[in-house]
Amino acid sequence: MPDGQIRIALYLNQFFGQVGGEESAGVPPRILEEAAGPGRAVLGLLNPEEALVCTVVCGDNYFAENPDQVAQEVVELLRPYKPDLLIAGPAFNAGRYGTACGALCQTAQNALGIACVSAMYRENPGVDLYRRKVIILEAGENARQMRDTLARMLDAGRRLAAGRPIGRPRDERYFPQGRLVPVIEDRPSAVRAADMLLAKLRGEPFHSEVQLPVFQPHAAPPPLSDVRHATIALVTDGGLVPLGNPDGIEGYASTKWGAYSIDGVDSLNPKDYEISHGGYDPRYILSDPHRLVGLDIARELEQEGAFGRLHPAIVSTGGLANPVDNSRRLGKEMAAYLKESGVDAVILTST
Amino acid sequence: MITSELERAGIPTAHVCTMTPVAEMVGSHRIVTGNGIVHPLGDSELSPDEERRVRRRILEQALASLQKPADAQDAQAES
Amino acid sequence: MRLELQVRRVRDLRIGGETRLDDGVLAVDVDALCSYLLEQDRRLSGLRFEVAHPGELCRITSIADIVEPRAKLSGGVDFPGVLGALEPAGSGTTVVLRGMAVTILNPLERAGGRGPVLDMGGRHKEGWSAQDLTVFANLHHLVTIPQLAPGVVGDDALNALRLAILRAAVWLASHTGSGARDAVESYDLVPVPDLPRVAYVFQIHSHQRPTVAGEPLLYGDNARHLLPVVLHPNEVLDGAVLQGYSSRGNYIIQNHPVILELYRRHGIDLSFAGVVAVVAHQTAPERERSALMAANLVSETLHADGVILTKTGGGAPHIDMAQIAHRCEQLGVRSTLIAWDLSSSDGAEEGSALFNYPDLDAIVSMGSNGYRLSLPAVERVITPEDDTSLLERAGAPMAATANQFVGVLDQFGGGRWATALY
Repeated sequence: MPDGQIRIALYLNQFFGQVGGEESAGVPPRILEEAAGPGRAVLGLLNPEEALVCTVVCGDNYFAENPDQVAQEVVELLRPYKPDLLIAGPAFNAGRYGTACGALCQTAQNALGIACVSAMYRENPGVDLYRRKVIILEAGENARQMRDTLARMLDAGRRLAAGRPIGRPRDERYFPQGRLVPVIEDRPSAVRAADMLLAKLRGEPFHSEVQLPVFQPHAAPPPLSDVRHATIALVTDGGLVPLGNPDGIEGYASTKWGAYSIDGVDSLNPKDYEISHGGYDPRYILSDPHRLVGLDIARELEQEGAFGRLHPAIVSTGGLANPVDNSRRLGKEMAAYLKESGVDAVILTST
Repeated sequence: MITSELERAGIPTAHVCTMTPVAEMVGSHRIVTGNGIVHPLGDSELSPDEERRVRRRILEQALASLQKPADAQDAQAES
Repeated sequence: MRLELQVRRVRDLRIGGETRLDDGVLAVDVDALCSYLLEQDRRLSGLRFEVAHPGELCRITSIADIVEPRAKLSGGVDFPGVLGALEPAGSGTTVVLRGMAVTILNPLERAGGRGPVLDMGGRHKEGWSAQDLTVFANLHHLVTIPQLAPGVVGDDALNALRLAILRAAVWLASHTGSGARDAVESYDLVPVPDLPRVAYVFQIHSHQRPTVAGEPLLYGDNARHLLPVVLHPNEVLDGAVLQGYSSRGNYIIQNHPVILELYRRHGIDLSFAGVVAVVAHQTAPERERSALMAANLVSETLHADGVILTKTGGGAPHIDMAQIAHRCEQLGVRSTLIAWDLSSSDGAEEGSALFNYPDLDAIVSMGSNGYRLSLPAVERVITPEDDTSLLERAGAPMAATANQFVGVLDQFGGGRWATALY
């Protein structure tokens, strides 16, 4: 951050940049010599050591047709002006405009290493596309609160440009970037819960501290067409491992998995196994591991011809309190191993 | 969640578990109700022979579910 | 039902001399306490004692329980159904030694393993102090390290430890029961008709670790298949409810954060409607039955407008809690849950929860169970081990997930450790 002046650049679409309406949505990016539209409001909000060094305008369609490339183009237009901070928008609920603002900010952050701030209405598609990488303040649906929104953008932008930390989304009113950070709160959770419940009962706004995840659905694999020749593997996330836990599978938030041979073995001897899973009372399975991995019956079914053959190893990991990203990785690795081993189907037992 | 990854890789997976709402939430397609958290394929209150019968019943259900299309699954099993 | 707690503050604690509390300084005749405890239970063959103070660079390992010294003066017995006869809890007067706890260690905690630890002082690299992370680091601890008689193992040993610490807590409070009171607290739910009614659903145990015969949870019962039951909050505060052997801090039930907060606000901005005690179940049918019955009690018996729910145990009990909350919402009772988030250290937002009912839109975080906290080296370790190399290892800097530290993941609402969404 250079001494002296703080150099601010502004990005606007063709409408707010007063080039034209929808008929001008295809115009390529250009620098405006004079502050236009919201740029004039920005001038009125600047501190003495700040300057609006340029305004760049681009048509929404021009941008939307090729966002990454056009973002680069705009960045090159901005570069000679050496901005410290880029304000993009506010885009309110204009979808193409919001997407352009998000793409531009993301590119400018990387290419120029400068602070960027945008603002949009929560339903603007630009929010979900770019909030993880770009600070996007919550704005209204339309331009009624333009000046107020610009003031907030400048306020946040100043701090970002100075390298100072920005506060929490719920306090600063920007869209969460998807990072969960451990903190010490000022009040215990019981107090926060009572506050939150009363706000909810009164119909006042509140912010849940824990967001529920959205699990992407996936297609179900087709059923086995020829079970009599199928290779079936026994898999568990109940943490059954050979005595001594040779692979060091953790009993909590496991990061590892193992495949343990049962070649030529008809049953699991309790003396040979232990449990690495802190989430349940293991005594019943320790005294008879078949209560988790049903090898004894599986062998009987194999011999009866209910299926082709049993994969010669048990695949195991721990499922206790495992963050989703860990579980996904473990699952992917196990899937790769099973496919390579020619396994056709799996029976997975969880505790 | 491991089940989801196996299924995403195209491996039909019968998921024996007690926490069936979790399995449903993350999208396991072939859920078979196990017999309790601490002994999903057993029952400490039964004799060994009765336990093996319970185990066989659940494993047979698992095998059956692997041979049926996912949409034709029965979420419930008799306990 | 009216409960009066007569509070005597403890500002310092030492071993030796006659047992007395003067001007906030508690002296303990540990030989007398030891004789008493050994006499009461032959499963104990010996005891030694240590003291730990807030702020000390001291680590306590293998903690089996932490209990606030209290003794009934009138209107009931101590820990009915466990130490005392089956009498109702929640009325009368009780003397409380506040600012300290009696803490018992488990000599059978896996050899070399340290179990969850309590650091009394020091700072984490993130800048948090021990006191920021757990209420237990704000207390003076009389630490009791027992020796178990030969052959006393497993659940029998755990039972011996539980009863010993409860007895020690009562003994200490009874022996210092007279003398000046620093405060008197009254707990009495006077009806307040015009304020929103708020109930609390208290998951007292998770049968991921099924309780065994004689493991005392509710008036001494092991609650193995507990159907939802309404309790007066005073019963919880006054010794009717204990945690299972696998949980490590009955202090938090005696000073139940949600119950105390609802009491604090009773008559101000809410009416505390009552407590529904539940357990997290082993099987799906039990879980569903519990959910529908608990929601019915909250809605139709307690006539609550809103409900706060907490859970205990591991990850799976979130499901039990969520099912009850969802049914409450369906009956028109608004809910707020206290839950942990399951994000790992890189904090991906998606990691957060084990349930997904859209109507559960008010969730307070009790912190991440995946984040690795780092603790500095300490100067002193209190542990059942004698082995010096183990002692050295136990005192070294350590990094582990929050559940490895006693009291950080405070499941009953007393903690300030949380996860913020950025």
